[in-house]
Amino acid sequence: MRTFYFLILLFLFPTFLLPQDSSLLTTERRKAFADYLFCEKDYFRASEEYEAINRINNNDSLTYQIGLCHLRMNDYGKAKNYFFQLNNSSFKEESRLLMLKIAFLQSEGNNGSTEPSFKNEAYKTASLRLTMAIKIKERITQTNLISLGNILDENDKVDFNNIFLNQERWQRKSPFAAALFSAMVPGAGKIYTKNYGDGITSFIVTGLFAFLAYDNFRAHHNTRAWIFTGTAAFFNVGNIYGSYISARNYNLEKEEELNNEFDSYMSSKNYFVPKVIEGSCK
Amino acid sequence: MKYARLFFVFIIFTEVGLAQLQLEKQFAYAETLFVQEKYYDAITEAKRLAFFDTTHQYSFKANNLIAESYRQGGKLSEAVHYFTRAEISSHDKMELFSTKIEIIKINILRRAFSLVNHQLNEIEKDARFAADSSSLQYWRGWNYLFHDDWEKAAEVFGKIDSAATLKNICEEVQKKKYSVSFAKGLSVVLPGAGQFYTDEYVSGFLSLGWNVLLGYLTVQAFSADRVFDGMAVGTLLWLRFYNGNLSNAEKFAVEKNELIKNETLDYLQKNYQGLKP
Repeated sequence: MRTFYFLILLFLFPTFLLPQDSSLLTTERRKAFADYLFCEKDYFRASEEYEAINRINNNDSLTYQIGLCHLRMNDYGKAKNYFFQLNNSSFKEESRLLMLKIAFLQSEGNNGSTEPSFKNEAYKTASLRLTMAIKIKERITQTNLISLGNILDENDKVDFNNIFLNQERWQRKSPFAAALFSAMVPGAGKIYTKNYGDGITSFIVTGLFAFLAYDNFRAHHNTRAWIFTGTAAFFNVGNIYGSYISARNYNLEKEEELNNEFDSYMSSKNYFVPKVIEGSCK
Repeated sequence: MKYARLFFVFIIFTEVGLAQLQLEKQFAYAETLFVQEKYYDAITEAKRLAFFDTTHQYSFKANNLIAESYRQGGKLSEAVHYFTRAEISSHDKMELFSTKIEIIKINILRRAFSLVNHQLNEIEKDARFAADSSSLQYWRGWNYLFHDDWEKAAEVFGKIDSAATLKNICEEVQKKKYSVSFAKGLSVVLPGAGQFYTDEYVSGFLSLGWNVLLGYLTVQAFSADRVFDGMAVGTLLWLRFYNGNLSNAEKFAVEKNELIKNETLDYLQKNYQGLKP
């Protein structure tokens, strides 16, 4: 009889185990796999795995992880949507802080909405720093280090001060002034926009054709003289328009240079966001 | 007690067996996706397999499959990354050699000439692969071919019996190609001649016409003692057109050679039946 029961048990046992055949897709295993993909920086697949679990087993931690995946993929719109869903969850402070980071990365202000509140002191300080950084990037406030109060530590104050000074020292070049200068003296507008090579070339070329026109008029070679006059005029009009564009390009380049400098500074500081809230990998 | 022991042993064996079965099924599933050209999903499932294969039994196969899928999807850097992982988890000499060659093939496609040369030299030095020297020569030939060195490629393929077709193709390309310095040299002597050599007749006639006209105007100005006019036309116009003629001849020869190269590579990709990167 015992042998009989034993054989029955032996027969049934694999039948209980076999349904677990597809167990690579259980919630726990999928979560472990998604975490592995996240750490492998395969964020798209990781987000898909988290989403698949979230559909069955909706929870805030997964929504937060999905948001992080999109943030790491620089898909800020989607990341914001996920973090926004967590506004009343236990991840609300982390989400708010990361939404501020996204606002900085997208060069967006908070569009008049009230500044987010934080209970966690570290997050509060980080959010104040980030808000200040967003304002600097938008050029809303000028140097006012006093208003930073205790937000920044001494090193950061020095860095911020340098960035402020660079921005203040920079003076925009007026495209109209550049065009006017070039109309008066060929190439002067380009020299005004610090485009020295082009300025000198414009001066020499326009001057040379003007001289050739003058020389030919004097020698009564009227046809050739008019050709050189036309060429000189053509070069000068091009030079005036070129000076206008040169001033505009100068402003854009300088602005981009300052923004890049500030962005790389912020990036080196991880945007003042504690690294631990952005997902940790061993 | 005896039954309990037996039952315990049975449980252990069943667990191990089922886990084995699970991994086997997962690999088959990933492979099916690959065959169906669903490379993205094949990568996901092969990565899942590699993650849950704690004994690393499928490590080589899974990483190989991931790498192949990435290659098919055109993600060559990722493919190299996973072939390297496969190389690390290879079980024998054959697996090791095959992954090394796969990495070399991708690097040939990426036109990483020096890197491929270095990798081939390293394998050649390895005594374990002494018997595979003809295979290494074959890929060296392909490396020269992608590096646009058809003469060397023909020379290397010439040493391999099975690569006679490739040798002939390389020799043909070598004959078809234009000499850039000869085209430029012709245009130095007679403006437009380099363009004629590269079969660009319209451009050749235009070049010749402009240079004759501006040369005539320059000489005429000097002979009429209008030195300033002569210098202006000579430097600002004639010299410009003359230089333009030289760079045009060079550009046409380079472009035509590039066209010949691309057509040949395209032909090899579509029609060559032997092994290729």
